[in-house]
Amino acid sequence: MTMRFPYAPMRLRRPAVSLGGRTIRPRPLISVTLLGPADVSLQDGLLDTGADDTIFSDTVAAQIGLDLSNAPVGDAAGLGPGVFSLRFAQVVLRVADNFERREWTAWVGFTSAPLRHPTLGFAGFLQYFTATFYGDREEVELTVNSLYPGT
Amino acid sequence: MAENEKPDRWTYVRNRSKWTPDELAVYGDEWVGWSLDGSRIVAHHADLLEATRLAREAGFGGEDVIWEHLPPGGEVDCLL
Repeated sequence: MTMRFPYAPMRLRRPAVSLGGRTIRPRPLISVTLLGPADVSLQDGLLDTGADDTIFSDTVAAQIGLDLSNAPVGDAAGLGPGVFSLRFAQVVLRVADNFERREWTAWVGFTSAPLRHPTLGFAGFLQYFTATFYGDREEVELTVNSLYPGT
Repeated sequence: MAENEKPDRWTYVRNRSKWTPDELAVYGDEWVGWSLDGSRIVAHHADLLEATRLAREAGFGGEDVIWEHLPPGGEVDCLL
């Protein structure tokens, strides 16, 4: 089975020159549920094949009742000059479309750095799926692969 | 709300995309909680925990709201 999701068309203040003047940016965002010890949180995450890890804001950890005080740490960098810290925890993630639902436990990084969208990167997320990005249809399909550890 | 009654992703995306940058600018640098059909904002606050409390007060549980943090100046032109 394959889950299919539409890109999210995000409206812009000014036309995007690089898209021929379109006033929307289609982004491969999907809803992902984090199941924590105290609560759950639904977040729109960005499928990012260039990201090493799956990363959420650390306030989301607090929202679902995750204690990060003794969490393993790491660091990360993007395009800017700075390096920011990550704290890792195992979280149950869930994604679903109209026909299929997948739930698995993953190591997820949490950061205090500002994130426009949570990053659904290789570790914890894309490593478990075959992801097909349809630039023409502005859709993405996810199919679990042999590494998928969940249900 | 039963699982099979929840709006699907396509409905959410269609409705969410109707919101203009100007309409969302007032929520800049805040956590915004969207209804599952993307048609309305059920709670918003700079602090996610407070926004969550406001959503619960309005009758929305953890699986009834899609959370998004909007950039300080509203939607950005490009993600890197």
